[in-house]
Amino acid sequence: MSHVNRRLGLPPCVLLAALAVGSGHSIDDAGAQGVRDRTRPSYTRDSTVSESQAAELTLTLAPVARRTLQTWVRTAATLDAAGKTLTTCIGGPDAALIRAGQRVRAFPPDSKASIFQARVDRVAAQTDCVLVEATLSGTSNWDAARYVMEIIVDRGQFLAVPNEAIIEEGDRQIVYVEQHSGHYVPQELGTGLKGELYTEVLQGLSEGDQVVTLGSFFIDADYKLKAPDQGATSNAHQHH
Amino acid sequence: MTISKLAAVATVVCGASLSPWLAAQEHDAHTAAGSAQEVKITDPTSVVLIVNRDSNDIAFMDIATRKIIGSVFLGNNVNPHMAMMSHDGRWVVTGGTRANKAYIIDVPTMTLVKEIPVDFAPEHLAFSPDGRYYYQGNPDGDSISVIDMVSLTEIKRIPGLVEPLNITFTPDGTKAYIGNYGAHWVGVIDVTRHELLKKIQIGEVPGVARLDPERYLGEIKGVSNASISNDGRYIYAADGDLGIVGVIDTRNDRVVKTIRVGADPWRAFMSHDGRYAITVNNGDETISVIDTAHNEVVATLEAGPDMTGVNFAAGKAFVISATSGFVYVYDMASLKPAGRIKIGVNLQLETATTDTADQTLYLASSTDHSIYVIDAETEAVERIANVGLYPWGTHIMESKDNYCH
Repeated sequence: MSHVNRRLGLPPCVLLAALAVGSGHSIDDAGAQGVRDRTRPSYTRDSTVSESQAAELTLTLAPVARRTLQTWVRTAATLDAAGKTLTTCIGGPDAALIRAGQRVRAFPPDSKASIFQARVDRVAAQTDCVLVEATLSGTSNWDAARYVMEIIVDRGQFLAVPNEAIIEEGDRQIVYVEQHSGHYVPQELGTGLKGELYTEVLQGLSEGDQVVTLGSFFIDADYKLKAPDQGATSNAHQHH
Repeated sequence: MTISKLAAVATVVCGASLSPWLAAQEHDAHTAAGSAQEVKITDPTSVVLIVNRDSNDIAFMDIATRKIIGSVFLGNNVNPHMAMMSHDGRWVVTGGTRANKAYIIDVPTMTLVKEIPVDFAPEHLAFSPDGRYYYQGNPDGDSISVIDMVSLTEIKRIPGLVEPLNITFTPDGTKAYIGNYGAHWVGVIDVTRHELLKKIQIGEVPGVARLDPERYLGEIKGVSNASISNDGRYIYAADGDLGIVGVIDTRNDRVVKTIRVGADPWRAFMSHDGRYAITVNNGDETISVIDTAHNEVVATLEAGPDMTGVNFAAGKAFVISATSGFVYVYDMASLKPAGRIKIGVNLQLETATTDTADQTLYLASSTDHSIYVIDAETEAVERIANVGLYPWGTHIMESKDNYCH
């Protein structure tokens, strides 16, 4: 196989790129079919949403409102012999969040459905971490010594939107806001504290605004398909 | 069977001693009055991880017996891409490309403990040197997910990247370098704040190579990996379109030299002694050997098509040619070809890991669902069949050749 034929078989941009770089190398079929061409998951690149698909969507809206933001500190813990007390050591920034009295959910990693309720009843600073003890409200009947422990930390009341409403787009965060029934516009927002379920809104939205939660990605895709050359936040978009 | 008995048996089988962490865990289990989970792996260095893309699981193969101990099923249509063990051997993490999730596996019990939603198409990943964070690259989301290994949550998503493929932390853990395959620059992440600090352009980008990543992502062959020197001082970033390796000084994050290599270099692989960086050049089916002391190419050698990786063992470099069924061998003392190993015909070879003794390679072969064990000294090959469906890669804790493609 001659190099000329191989070159002619390339997409024009690849050939031009090779000429422009002036590397002096020929690029053959193996180069055109590079490692990444095979490993790149194509199925995430070619998905499209038709108008009929979008029309069948059931959109869910949620109001922008003041809500309690929570951080769930997850860690592994050991259950004592009595099956009552969970013990763990938490390091890093999360350690500062833990207080006695906080609610805890605990479950063995193998558990599919059983979640045990508990409360933090002792927090003691150690050299490199904070020792945390929590007491189960009942007795665990699971044959397990190690538990996953979620300590629920209330961070306070904030103006917030559900996390699932936010679409990350480069370094921007977008939500779709209902203008009036059936009409949605993208809105860039500034965010603060990111909780487990809700994210604090610093700018871009007002209390009472209705934002799309379930279905926001489909609206976003539909919006971009219909207006590929328009700014993402500049034009109203009608969705039925 | 109690934990202590099982651990003792497993220790004998694996021929290894308990690590301090596992000993502590065994102690914890004692205190739980027999209500412990079964410990299946007592020594995390005794196993090879196998990423089975199409059976959606991570399999654990015992190095001593070459038997599959077990596997952890992740879920339907997950398509795991790469797996890595935490530095303490406690966790295995993997990204499910099709599920858009990260998965955390507890190693001793071989149990899936957490699924974490991340951005689109997670593939390659890395742990910070202190083990606190696991960075998951999301090439289709153009982002990195920062997973906190204490809380096992995504604490931040770093945007602004372009098809980020591989992540390289500096030894001190202060920075991470990101190879952007959809662009011609390396991203520098401040690991303290988990923010993109800087974009380092690898070389002059002429003509249509300066394509807009937003529109021509599939046609750009940029930087797949930022390979770091042993002392952490320099980054070697190969750029596919440009046919060069940019050498970045990590002290000031500037390109101090660009080295012309063969056409379409996939990435640079660092020899274990740090003397050489080898690029596999799929555009002209060569490898370029760079002397890292002088940052210049000292050998350009013929190789095979569709090269996916390089492993170093027994004083040789083993270059995987995915579609030819051969592994090409080079003597690292003379920097000359030393033959090739025929693995088989009609195979699709993927990537390999090397054991910590630098003696044995474990090569994933996807289409025949096998792992090929290569003795680096004798070049004898043993096939381990039926490891799972479409094995995509392998991993050994503390190996110097843990990479993916």
